[in-house]
Amino acid sequence: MATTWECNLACSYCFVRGQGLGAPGVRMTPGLAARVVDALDEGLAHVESVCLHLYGGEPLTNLPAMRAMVERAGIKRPGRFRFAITTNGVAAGREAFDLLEAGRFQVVLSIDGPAEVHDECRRTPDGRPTHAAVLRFLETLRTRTRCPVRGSAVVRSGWSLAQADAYLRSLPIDLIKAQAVRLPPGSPYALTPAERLQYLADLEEAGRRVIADLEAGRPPRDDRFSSRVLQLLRGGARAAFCGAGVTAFGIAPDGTVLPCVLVDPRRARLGHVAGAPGEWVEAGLRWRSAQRPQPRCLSCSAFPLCGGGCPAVLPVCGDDECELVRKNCEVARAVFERFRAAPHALLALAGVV
Amino acid sequence: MEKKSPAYTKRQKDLILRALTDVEFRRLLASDPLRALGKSSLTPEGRKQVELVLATVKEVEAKITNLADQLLCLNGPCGIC
Ligand code: SF4
Repeated sequence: MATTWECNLACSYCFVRGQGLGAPGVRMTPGLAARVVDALDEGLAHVESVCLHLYGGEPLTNLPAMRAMVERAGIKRPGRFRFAITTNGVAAGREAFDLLEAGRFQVVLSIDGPAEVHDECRRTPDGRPTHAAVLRFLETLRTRTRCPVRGSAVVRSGWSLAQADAYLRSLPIDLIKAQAVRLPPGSPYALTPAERLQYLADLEEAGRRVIADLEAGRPPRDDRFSSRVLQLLRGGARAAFCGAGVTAFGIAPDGTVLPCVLVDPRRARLGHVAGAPGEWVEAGLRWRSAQRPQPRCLSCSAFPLCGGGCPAVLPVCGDDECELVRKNCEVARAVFERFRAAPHALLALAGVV
Repeated sequence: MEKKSPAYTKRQKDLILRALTDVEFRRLLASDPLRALGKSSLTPEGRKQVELVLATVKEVEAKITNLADQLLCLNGPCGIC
């Protein structure tokens, strides 16, 4: 969910700004934030637990809404609500850390690389660098909270997956994620053809590292292949790329319910959190059943593991996205094949060690 | 730090794998664990183990389904967040 689309940074490659998502200036009120918790509790009564993932915009710029959600979730059944947050780590004061700890948030922290790499793109609207502030945030987070942290880096032209991966591994974080910037081909920062080839080779290397981790009985810090490998272990094809509209919903700052927070609200509005929860749940099921794979998916070797692609990203990236997904699926298969005869090791991907 | 996961024995891992890959066995383990395991009784500890196995399989299923929940949210679709 997005409690605001506003951000305290003006990153040069921002997808959210580029997509023109949401109306600027709309901030979720504390009353509406509490209603979100109630609506999810009622509408998703059939699921065991709900993870509220705060996204944006920068969620730490709307602490009243965050506080209202954490407090409301606190009066529900223990374990009913979990929290996650994607943050740039630049707007956090004492209250933010208290809330992160109170909700035991899983934190996804955006940090691209060392200062010269990070600060080239991730700056405040008046042009100030942010790398030092992000490192201070990380240090405080690690000392003052028990929140697990995922470091998230953008791979872009001039900054490779291998470099981003190595940088993230040098930080005191639990999980890492480095992914290519999602921009239409030819945009500034988009990978050149040669860099894309290198990116695909780096993905293979990431797979080899996962294999080495599993051989050593360790859950890998880079878990990008985990769900596909586990899918291969379980067997069966993926019915859809994701749970959007059925097990996942997006909630905009004004309380609009969407299949995903990044899907254009003009294309797929399911309802509003103030309405009867059954309505947006039903609308989500209808939205999902109306989704059809693209014709090209039907002949794509990755289809059983891909499920037809991300409805938010494909319209922006098209074939480029498919190339990355196919490689991801190919590497997932290689990891699975390596352990086909000794599948116990693969359970480490689900934390079973 | 992340929540500490329980240590799993080889036997539990066998059960998790079987319940994950064999839907009929999973159903039987949930509805009639004695029959599923071919036993005449289960200690309270054994029952707890069965519960843990079933809960773990559920978590694995969620991890599989939520592939793109992760891509979209935890992993960020745009590679930005
Ligand atoms: S990789 Fe692209 S073409 Fe292949 S199944 Fe996924 S979305 Fe469809």
